[in-house]
Amino acid sequence: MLTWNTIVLTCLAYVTVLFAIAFWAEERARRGRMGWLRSPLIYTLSISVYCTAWTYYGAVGSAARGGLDYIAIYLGPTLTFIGWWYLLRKLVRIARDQRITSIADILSSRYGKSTRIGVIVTFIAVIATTPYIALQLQSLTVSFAVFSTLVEGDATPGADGITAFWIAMGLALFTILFGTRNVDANERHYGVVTAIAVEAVVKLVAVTSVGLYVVFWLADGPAEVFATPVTEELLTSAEFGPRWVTLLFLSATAVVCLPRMFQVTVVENVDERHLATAAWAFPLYVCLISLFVLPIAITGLQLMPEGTNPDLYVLTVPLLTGQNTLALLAFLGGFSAATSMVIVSAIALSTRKSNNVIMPVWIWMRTPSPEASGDVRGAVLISRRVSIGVILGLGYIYYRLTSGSEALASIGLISFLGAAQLLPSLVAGLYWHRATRAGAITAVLAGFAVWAYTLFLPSFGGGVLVSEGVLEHGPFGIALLKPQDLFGAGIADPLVHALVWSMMFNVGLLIVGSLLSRQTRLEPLQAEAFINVFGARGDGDGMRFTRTAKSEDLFELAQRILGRETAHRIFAEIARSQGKPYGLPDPAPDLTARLERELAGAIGAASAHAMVSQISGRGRVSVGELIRMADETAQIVNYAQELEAKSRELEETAAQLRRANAQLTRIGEQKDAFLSQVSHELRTPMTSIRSFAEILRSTDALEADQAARFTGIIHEESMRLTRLLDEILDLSVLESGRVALRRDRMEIATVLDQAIASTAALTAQRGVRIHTDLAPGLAVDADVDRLAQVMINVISNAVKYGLGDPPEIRITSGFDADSVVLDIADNGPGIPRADQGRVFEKFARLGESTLAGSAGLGLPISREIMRNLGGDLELLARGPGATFRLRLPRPGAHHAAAE
Amino acid sequence: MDGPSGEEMESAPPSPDPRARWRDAALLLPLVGLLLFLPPLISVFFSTRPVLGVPLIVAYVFGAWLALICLTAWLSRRLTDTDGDP
Repeated sequence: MLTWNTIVLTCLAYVTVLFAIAFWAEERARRGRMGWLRSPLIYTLSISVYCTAWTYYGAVGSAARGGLDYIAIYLGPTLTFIGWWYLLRKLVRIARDQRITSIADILSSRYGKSTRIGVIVTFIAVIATTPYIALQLQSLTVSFAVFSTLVEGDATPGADGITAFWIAMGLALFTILFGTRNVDANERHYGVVTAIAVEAVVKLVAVTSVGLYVVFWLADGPAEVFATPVTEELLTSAEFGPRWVTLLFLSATAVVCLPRMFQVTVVENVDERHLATAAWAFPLYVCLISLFVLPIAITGLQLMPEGTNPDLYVLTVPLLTGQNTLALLAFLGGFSAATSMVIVSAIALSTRKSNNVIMPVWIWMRTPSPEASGDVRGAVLISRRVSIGVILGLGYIYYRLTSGSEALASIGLISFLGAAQLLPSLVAGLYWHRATRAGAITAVLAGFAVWAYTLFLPSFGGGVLVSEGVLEHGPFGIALLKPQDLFGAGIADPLVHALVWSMMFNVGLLIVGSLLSRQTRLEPLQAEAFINVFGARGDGDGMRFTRTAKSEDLFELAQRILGRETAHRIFAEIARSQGKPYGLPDPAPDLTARLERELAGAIGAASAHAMVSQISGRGRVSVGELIRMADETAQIVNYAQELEAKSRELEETAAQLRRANAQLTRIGEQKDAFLSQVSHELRTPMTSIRSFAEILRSTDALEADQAARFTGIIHEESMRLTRLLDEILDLSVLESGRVALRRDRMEIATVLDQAIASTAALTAQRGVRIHTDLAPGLAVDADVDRLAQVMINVISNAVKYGLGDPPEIRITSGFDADSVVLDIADNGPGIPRADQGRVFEKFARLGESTLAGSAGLGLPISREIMRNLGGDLELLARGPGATFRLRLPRPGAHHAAAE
Repeated sequence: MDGPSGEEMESAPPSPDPRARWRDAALLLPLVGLLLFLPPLISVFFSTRPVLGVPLIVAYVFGAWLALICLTAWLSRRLTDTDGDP
């Protein structure tokens, strides 16, 4: 009844239907009618690509060999999914924010967008998946073989290899047709995902049908199935020891780390909330699919003759009992399981390989010419197609090398452990800031090397690289390095053995390597973006830059893609619906939603979504943007600081200017006062001169002695005028510093004697006694006449103002390292504190008394002279009388002589 | 079987954020799962004595499994209901 042709035709028809479904879904998505294409149900069903042909056939075989062991393979993913809130949700969010398209992508992005780590991970993923692909080929081949032996009656030796070859070719073609029809912006394949979902349903229906048939048709309910003596033997063969824990761990990690699982769970996720559904629905799916595994295995063990491959009980039990249709359904289920796995794996790996390996090389080789985008798309598609061919080719080679001898389950576990080598770096990347690229690379490479040495290469049975001799006695006879008994630890189970050692090296090197190396510039930023993907609160919403889209930007985008006319029409419609008769519509959600739909028709839904969300800022700001923003902020801060410094400077300048202004005003006032003083001083003698001159001219009869007295007064007054003008001239010359005073070496005592002699008349008249107490031999360099003038001025000043009773003037001298001083002190009332500052001002007459013959310029002139001599004239603030101090620089020559 | 997680959630200290309680429960659930399926506890039920015709260990594994699934479904609804994040 079941002919070879029937089977082949059924397969082809099934594939055609799948292809039609995929094509239809793709078209629907292209037109933007997502609907249920983006439902949590489809998402959950697509995750069931986890259940491959291995599940389908291998689980039963595994149960028939090791009892409950097989359940661990499903419990692991269950644990990962019920903990979705902490790991999977984070991965999905990161993948969306960072536009992640594969597990190599996420690692390369986390560790500073490193191409190197991307290449390494891709390489490892391809190698690790190879056994898995081979497993699918093997399971398909043996299931075909079951039918061929049944139908044809015999199996030609070597026919398996040929079947496997054609299966591989068919799968490659199928995958290329399915998966590489276009390049999506965010690598979502609605067509494939829908087809996979359909296959998931077929798988479940098929295995459940066989299960129900076995339990309720062949037997009378579960009680009868389990009542057989085989049950006892089977169930007690399982022990919940190291192997059980290993299987739980591996399957829990596989659901994240296997390329195809990452693809369907993380990359193809369109809505985070779908995870919430998948969190219980996917465990339920695997629970249902494994529900009948044990009954089928038990029944198979009972019914089937000794030596039948337990992996095929799902097929052989119905066939043996004559249920051909059921067997065909079961066959289709297995076919579905294998094809879906191969398709998704190949798509995931080829995307990754093309993105991380081929494209960078291709772009690097063609750098000189900027490429048109169509050209790049073509190259991407070709590179992906080639990659798919290579991946399936590798799977086929692995299948031929291992000669399809091993049990299905053990091959799958090799892949699981290979993929699990990425887990430590991935988890560290999500939760540990200090994890570095160098640490991750060493960890992954070391783990991979140990895995290859202890599990992958030995799986060829001494055929490749590791010979049988090495397996038996270790390389070069070193027993400690025996691949399956490393360091003589004596772990019997090769899987547990490989897991322990590879993870020990992997995790250890990750921690040590990260602690010993430094992060690159981008790594801390990416680490922050990954670890705090939900923002500081960690409860979902996260720090998001809400840049509302501007209508102008959206219009610009629409115009570019849809053309001017259409864009105008659409925007006008939306504006009208918003109640705006003219102008651009408000950037409300309905605008973005509508625009997204319209764009989807032109460029595909995913691209449209990506473009619109990029403009409307629903996605997170990229790290590049963040860096630029940070730079700008830094610049602004710098600028602000500069401004602040500038304004401080300006303030200081303004203060200086204010001070200068005040000084100028004061000087101006002084000048005015000076001028008025000068005119006043000139006026008084001039008046008397003029009046006496008039008397002399108008009065003829003037007595001779009277006339002589008058001319005497005129002479005296004009002398005074001349003196005054001389003084003013003298002062102005001294103040301007244009005068060159002589410098002669002289003894200060000599000059003082001269000055005292000059004032002798004045002092004698007032009865002033002058006490001098000079250090002997004090010499200075000065102008004798000028210095004497200063002394005379000060002494006469003291005589005029500072008379005590009895009037005394005390003159002392002193010197220090670099100056000679002469103090002239009187014993008068002293100068009031308030007037002390005005002593050296011009025409400043202290108190009321005005002295004949002095215009009050004596002290200012004296000070100018002293300053011109390099010294100074100071009023010492010590009472009770007034003390003036003449200070002169001490000549160096004298200094030396005096010592 | 579902006792530990249920009790934990009930006895959780009152939090100003109602979501915090569900989040803690979400963290706890996989740990409870581990506890249920790892040696000390699973070995207790390691027996082929039939319960309703099914060996105890098989009934235990599938029972615990389904209980976890139900708890997750219930918790997921809580987490997504209160979480307004798109």
